[in-house]
Amino acid sequence: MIELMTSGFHTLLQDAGRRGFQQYGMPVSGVLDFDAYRLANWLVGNSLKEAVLEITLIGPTIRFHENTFIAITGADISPTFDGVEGEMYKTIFVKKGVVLKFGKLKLGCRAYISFSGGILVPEEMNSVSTYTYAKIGGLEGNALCKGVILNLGEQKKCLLREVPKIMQLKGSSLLAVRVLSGIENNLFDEMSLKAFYTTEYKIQVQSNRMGYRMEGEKLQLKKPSEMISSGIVKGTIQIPKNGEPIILLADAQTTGGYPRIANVISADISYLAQQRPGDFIRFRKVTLEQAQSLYYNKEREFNILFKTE
Amino acid sequence: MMTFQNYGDSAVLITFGDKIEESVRFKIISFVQLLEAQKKEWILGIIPAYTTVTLEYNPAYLDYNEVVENLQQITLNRTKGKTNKHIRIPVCYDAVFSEDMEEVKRETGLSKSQIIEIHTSKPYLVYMLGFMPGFFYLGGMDTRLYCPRKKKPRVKIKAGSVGIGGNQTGVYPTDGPGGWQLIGKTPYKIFNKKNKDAVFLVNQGDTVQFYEISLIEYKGLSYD
Repeated sequence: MIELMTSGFHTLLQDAGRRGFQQYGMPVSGVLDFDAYRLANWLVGNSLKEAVLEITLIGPTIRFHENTFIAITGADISPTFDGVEGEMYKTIFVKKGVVLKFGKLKLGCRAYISFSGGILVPEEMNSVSTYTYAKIGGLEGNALCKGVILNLGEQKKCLLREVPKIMQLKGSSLLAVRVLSGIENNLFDEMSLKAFYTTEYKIQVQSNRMGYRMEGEKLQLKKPSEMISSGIVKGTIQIPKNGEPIILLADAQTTGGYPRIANVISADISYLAQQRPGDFIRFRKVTLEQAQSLYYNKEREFNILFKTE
Repeated sequence: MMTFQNYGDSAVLITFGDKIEESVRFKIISFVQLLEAQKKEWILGIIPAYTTVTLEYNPAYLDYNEVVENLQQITLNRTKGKTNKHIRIPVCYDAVFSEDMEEVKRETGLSKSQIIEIHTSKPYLVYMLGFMPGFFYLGGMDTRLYCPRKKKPRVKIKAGSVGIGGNQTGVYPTDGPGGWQLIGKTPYKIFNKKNKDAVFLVNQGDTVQFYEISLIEYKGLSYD
């Protein structure tokens, strides 16, 4: 059992997402940094789809009421255990009574805490993922608040593991995000397409799990056209009437009516999710073949790690 | 007839036409039913819309070209598969719920009873779901009911509220912000996560018809 003594800024129960209901308007939700998520579960011997805590910018304070193994991945928010500096990307044994606190945000935007045996929360529509707009998943569909108590599952046999440095989150406040040309790419005028691929965009404060709102060169269509609403997938970059891009993420609506200029490649979504308001992004075009091989190479790297003992 | 475009590196956009029309809607419904019946493990998600179907696939199983090859094998049935539902939805148009009735009367030049009569007079086709969980887009609202959206959207609209926005009408499935003109409220739950058999009242391909109920009937049917 663990107890939240403080909640942090926006601490959510998340898992791999709620699949199979997009045709009814239900977003997939789920963790934003899927790489940090699966590494966290691997470190404590869990199934890779176990529920975790997703922490954004400011961490909670957690008291442990039992001995357990945990792991913290993703953003480095200076975790300490009873005041002693804690390590990231490593299996950690925590004794009953210990208090985990977070401090200064040093790197990234979102941290993930996994617990050996997982967190015991009933699924709603096949998932634990919290989608606050429809009050579904998590605890009553809300972000976790102070005083919440969570029961942990039966502990797995746990080896002490560590994620190789090369697979850990690396920091940069200017990120090149690789994208594929979007569905309505050809509706944009040449100047706009050039601006999109050559200038920097800043992540605005209003960004959240639905999407990142970007500030920068405004983009225009060759001629005004009304689009017929169509499906939205994670990583879609749409251009609303004000001309500034929105990168849609896990909690985005399932359909939208703005022109889609590009799509972030699968291999880069986790990196993107670690950028925070104020950070800059540059979009770089790749081909479908390149995107596919980047994806396969990355999956191979993860699968090799997951097979090691 | 179907065109395929890669939509990022793990989805395909399948386009069936370029206009919102019943024949396109019928093709999409048939296509989605066939896809769902196949239960392919490489399919992660399906989002049918007015003229398109977005299909998310797991690239660990198939790459884009293989996905398209698979989808090209699907031939649309002339005959209907699963029968679609006709759903009658009770609406209370009482002043308690029809907060924007005066504005709608002004914009349309109709009386309240005329508005209700037209709104309930015929079944609407469900073209797609989206915007929020369970929200259905209906086609074929009588143009006499056209009414622009509110200049200032409301921050919170109660689940079950029935509204008109431009040339569309529909029901808000959850509490949330919105810009439609509110003309009534249904006691039915459009999105009910606790009802395991039917979380969503309405599906794409169904038809919906509204009927008027009194405030007393509303209270009798309401779960609140």
